[in-house]
Amino acid sequence: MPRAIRLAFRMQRFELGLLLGAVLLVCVAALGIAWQTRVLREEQLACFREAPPAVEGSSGTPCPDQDEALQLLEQGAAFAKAGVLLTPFVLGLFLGVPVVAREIEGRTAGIAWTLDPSRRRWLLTRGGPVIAAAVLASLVAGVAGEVVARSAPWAEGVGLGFTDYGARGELVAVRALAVASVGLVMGALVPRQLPALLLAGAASLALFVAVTIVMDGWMEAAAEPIAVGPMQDLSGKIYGSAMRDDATGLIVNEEEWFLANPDPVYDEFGMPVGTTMIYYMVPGWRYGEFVLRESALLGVVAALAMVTSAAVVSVRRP
Amino acid sequence: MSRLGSWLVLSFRLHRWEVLASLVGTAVLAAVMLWLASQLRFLAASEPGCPDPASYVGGGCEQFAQRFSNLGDWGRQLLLVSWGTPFGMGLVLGVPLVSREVEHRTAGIAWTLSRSRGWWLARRVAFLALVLIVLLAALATVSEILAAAVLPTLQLDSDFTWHGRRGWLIVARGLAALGIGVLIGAIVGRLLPAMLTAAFVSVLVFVGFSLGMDRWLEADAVLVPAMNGNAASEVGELSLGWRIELLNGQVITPDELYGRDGNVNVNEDMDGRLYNSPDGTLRPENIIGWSRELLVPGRLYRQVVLRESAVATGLGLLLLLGAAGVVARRRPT
Repeated sequence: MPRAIRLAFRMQRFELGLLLGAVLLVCVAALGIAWQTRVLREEQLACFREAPPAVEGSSGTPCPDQDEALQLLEQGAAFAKAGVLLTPFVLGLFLGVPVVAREIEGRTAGIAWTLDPSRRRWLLTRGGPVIAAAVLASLVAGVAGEVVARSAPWAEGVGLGFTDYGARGELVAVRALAVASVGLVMGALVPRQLPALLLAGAASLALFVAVTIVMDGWMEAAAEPIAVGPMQDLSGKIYGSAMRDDATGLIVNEEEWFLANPDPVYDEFGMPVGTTMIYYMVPGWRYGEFVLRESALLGVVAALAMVTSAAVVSVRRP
Repeated sequence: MSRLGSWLVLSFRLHRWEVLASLVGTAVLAAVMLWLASQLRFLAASEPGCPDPASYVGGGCEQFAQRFSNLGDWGRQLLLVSWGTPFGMGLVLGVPLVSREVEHRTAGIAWTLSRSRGWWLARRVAFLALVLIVLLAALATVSEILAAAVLPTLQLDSDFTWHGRRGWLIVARGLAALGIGVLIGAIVGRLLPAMLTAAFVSVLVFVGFSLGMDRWLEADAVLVPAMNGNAASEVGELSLGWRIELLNGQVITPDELYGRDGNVNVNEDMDGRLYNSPDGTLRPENIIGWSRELLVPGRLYRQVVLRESAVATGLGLLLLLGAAGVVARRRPT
């Protein structure tokens, strides 16, 4: 078995080297950005604590030294998170597709399948380690994405909620498993690497459009009316807003309320007196539940794709 | 069959999958873009009393403007796809040309049977370049039609709006991407690794290309007053970024300003005057200059597109020459 695993890695050493190197670069960048953001933010908070009271008429900040660097780090963090978001797709496609397609295209599948006790075992020992590497690397990238997302100064004291969905946490690894499985089955069905890569890309796109639509439907159905105070930090996925009449407790949409009350009196925060803002939203604390739901969906797709791959490899001509 | 016919048929058979994928992708994209353009035109024609559907105007046009804006958003998304298409198509067509022959160990036979390796490459590249030019030219034309439908009140031939997402630059960028694909495929000699490498290299090359063109365009750009980071001029110009005009008339970038003095704290007043004041107050003695924006006028749009297209095409040809050099020297396995 270890020899088979070594062989599996050697067969795709160029892609593995390049892709794992790129993932490592993204992770190092993300962790470096998170670390620097925390250091600078600490310095800025210390400066704020020691700063004299603001001068009347002043429009500036008493601690501008860290602003530019923090902005640059925020831009860098956006690039790092984009890298993490793309990781499962690039890794899954470029590592999943060639497992079978390259053997068939290179006309070496016949020899490889004959030398192994069974074709399914061959697929397991050949594809398993490579897909595991893709999943593991994506998991590491997901952890790096989580760390960089949590380092954002705006996230202090507020949960991240649904921010950077898909660019952090274990979902990145689950997505890699699903895309690699789609790549595997396409590579088994289409015996040439480039067409299989293009079709797997298109199939993955279709899969994620469908998953996004399903997830959005579930989230919208789970959205609940939540009263939000004027200075309250929000964390969650918002699907709409309305106004609550505090006297009656009635919730109406904003247009209707303003039609019924053409000359409202506003409070210091710009809200009509006697009303409260209501958001129809999925609270941020339900993030884990929806990650679990998407993971379950993608897990089923991955399992189906793997079973199909095994069936195709068992019956197809080499 | 004539020599031209047999060349076309043989070339198509050798690159059937890539050509068909490019053809189907372009046909679907162009069809959706044309359908959307026709819907937008139909909608605009149905409300002749609302002259500018791209903006919210009075007189009962709000609902129409909202419907037009919703459809226009789809148009914007499709034009983003048309921006990315030349890169994708160039690589899909270019990378396998040499790498697949080398990977399948058929390069030796193909090169031996041909008059020369350079001739072999030229015949292959010519076919793929022809396919790429025809498909991307169609896409360039359709993207102009869609852009005109989304922005019916603009003169798009003298306007930088959606520069690179429409017009002939799409074709030129495709040729440059084809050059990158063929060269990297010839160097790496394996299909998927070459595809990955070419994708990375493309990003680097086109970022460099874009920065280089911006520097070149600075010679044609004009400085206009900018207030709070917004240019005071009309839309249609190409913005090359925010600049600071110092009291001595020197124009510098924000990076240069911060590079000179790390403790600078710039604040701007309503008239675009810039102040360096540690406490944020706007006192006359703290004025350091004016906020400016560097813009390329819209009337230069055609000239700029022509120039960028020439540079991108030249880059593509240079890369193909490089690929010919690699093919002439490399081992066929």
